Amino acid sequence: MPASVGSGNPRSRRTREVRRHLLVYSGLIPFLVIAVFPIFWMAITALKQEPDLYRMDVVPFWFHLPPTWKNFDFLFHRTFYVDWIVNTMSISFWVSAITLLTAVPAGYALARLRLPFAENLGIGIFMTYLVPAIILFIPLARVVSTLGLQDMWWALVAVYPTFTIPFCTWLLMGFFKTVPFEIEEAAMIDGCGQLGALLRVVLPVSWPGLITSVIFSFTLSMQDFLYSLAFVSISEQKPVPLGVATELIRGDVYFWGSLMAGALLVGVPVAIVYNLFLDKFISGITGAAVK
Amino acid sequence: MTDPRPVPSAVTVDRRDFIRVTGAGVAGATLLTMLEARQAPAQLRGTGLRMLKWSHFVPAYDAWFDDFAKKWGDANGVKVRVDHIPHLELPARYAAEFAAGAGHDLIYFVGQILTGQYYRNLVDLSDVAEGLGKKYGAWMENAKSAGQVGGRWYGVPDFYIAIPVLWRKDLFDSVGLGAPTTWEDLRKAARLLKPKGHPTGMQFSHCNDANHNWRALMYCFGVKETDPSGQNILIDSKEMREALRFAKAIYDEGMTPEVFSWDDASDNRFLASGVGSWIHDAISAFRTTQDTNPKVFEHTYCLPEAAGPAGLRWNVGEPNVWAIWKFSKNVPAAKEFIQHIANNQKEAMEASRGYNMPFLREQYKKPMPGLGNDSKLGVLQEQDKITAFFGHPGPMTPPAQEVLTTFIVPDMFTRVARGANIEETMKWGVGEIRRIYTKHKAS
Repeated sequence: MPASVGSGNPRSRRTREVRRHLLVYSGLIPFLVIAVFPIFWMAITALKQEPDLYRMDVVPFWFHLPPTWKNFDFLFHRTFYVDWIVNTMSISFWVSAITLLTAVPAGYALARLRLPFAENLGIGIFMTYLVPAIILFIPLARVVSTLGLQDMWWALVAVYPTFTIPFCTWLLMGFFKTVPFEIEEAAMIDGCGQLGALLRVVLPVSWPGLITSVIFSFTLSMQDFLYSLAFVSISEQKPVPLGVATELIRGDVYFWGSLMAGALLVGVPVAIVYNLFLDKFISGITGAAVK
Repeated sequence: MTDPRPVPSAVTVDRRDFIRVTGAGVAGATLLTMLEARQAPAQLRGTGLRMLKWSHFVPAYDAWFDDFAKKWGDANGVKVRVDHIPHLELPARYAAEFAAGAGHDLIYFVGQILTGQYYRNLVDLSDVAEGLGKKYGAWMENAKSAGQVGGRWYGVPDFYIAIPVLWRKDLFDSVGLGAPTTWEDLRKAARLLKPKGHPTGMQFSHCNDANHNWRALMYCFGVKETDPSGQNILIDSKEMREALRFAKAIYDEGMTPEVFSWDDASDNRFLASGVGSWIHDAISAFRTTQDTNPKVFEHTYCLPEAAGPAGLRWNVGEPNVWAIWKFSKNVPAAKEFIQHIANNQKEAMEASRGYNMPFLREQYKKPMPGLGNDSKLGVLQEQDKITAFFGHPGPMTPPAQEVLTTFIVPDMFTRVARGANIEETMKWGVGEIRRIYTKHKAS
């Protein structure tokens, strides 16, 4: 058989390659449009003048009056937006830290210590994640009040771990199961105790799982609305989702431009950070899913 | 001739007389100044007062209110803090405060009137409400159901929001129609203007406006939700069936399917965009149009309410009510503040650009602030005569409240507009309402 039959000539190979790419990318375009459209919409709405938003006789996907920074100006100078961002970041940081400190030992114990009923206990812990906030916020109100944290963002640091810890424990439990027992045993032969093996061997190789837990804790904390609504009513103590929704929506009057500006400024950086850790995130999720 | 008048002798004032006279003078002057300034009792000094309100539809009103509250606090030595959240989020917050037994000193119900639900945990405000009633020529009759439970006042009505018809005169003129006065006029306008690109719209969805608008249509058609006692359901009637039939017709002839996804703000945008021929909404839509599309605003007019087939006109208002938790840390200051804002109703109504409609009779003296000098909104100055609230003609009881918050009435209209059989819809809706009333009776 001539060699050219199997591999084809370079031109036809390139053509096939181009065609394959075109096919793949044209298949991806609808998903890309769906993913990017909300960001595009947020951006143009944030930059539109108010009368431009209310025109129904023109195509709404572009500007028909000159763009304006007025909505951003309103957000930064007439609301507590900067405080909201600081609060959101502080809450997410503390919740992630508490979650890691709790979920790592819990997940490790359930996955590696061969405890009786560990599997069922793991399922039981995960089940608590499924209890909706609408049921929990009333009893938690009493807890928050007893702790003296009402109307402070610290209340949310106390409350959010109730849903981040179960989820991350479950996630890490699955991930720790994928770490071979042999490397932990090797560490113990070299003189490590159980804790030393966890800290020096298991955690370093579980890096993607830890990153995934942090990302989940961070985003779960950032997207809550109900708990923050129930426990924080002081403007300068609110996190971003509550702040923009409660201060920029007034009954049937919506400050669309500033709302979109507020969402854009928080959403885009988070998307970029997600992308930076995308590989770790995927391996964290898939690693946990193997066993 | 000698002068018969007695010669004045030198006046002698001893120390005690001096102290008594000047003391009385100073005390009298202080009292007069306090009354003039309407100052609160001295025991309020050094205390704090936290209140929770909704984010008012007119943002300038919140700015005014916050400043007003602060000034009152400064004058009385009370550290005042006002928190605002959207009206639909208030019930969740109150549930949390109730569970915790801690929270704001002074709270506020709007739309969803929870006086009947929480009254056991609210301070009896009969002294405040009855005092204001006497001072300002009595409360509107239906104000009582917003504030009273068992004849005692656990809430003090502040104001209500009128929800009139806002219509485009230029568009009505273009199809040869005069100013609308009845629902039939509105239906005709929608039928003629929809083909010209100017449909109408009322929300067929789960939002406050849907609850008000369809109830207004119902009451104008003679529908009674309950009897005056609020205990017996009367919605299962031929009038209700007629209202549903009319709504279906007006949807088919004059609306587009977007109304199924509308929220409270959609009709504002619809009018302000210049597309809508008429809407049924609070005057915030009027103000939004004024601010964003002056050309459309120029042709926008207000009808307090359209009349039903038998000439009935009932506008469904959205009540706003003050209340005080029993666990409030500063009941005296909270009571004092309620009276202070009621005493300054004119200023408040002006700040709300005519939005805050009073519950007290005497406050309907013309010209009313924000409305009296407005050539288009002046018609709302007699709104008290045609205003009803949910549960009409019964009071706003807890089951009536639950029927409101579960959107059963808008769902009935939505089902019919989407093509469901009227009898089947009635069976479903009345069944749901009965279930709620039975549950409340059992508890």
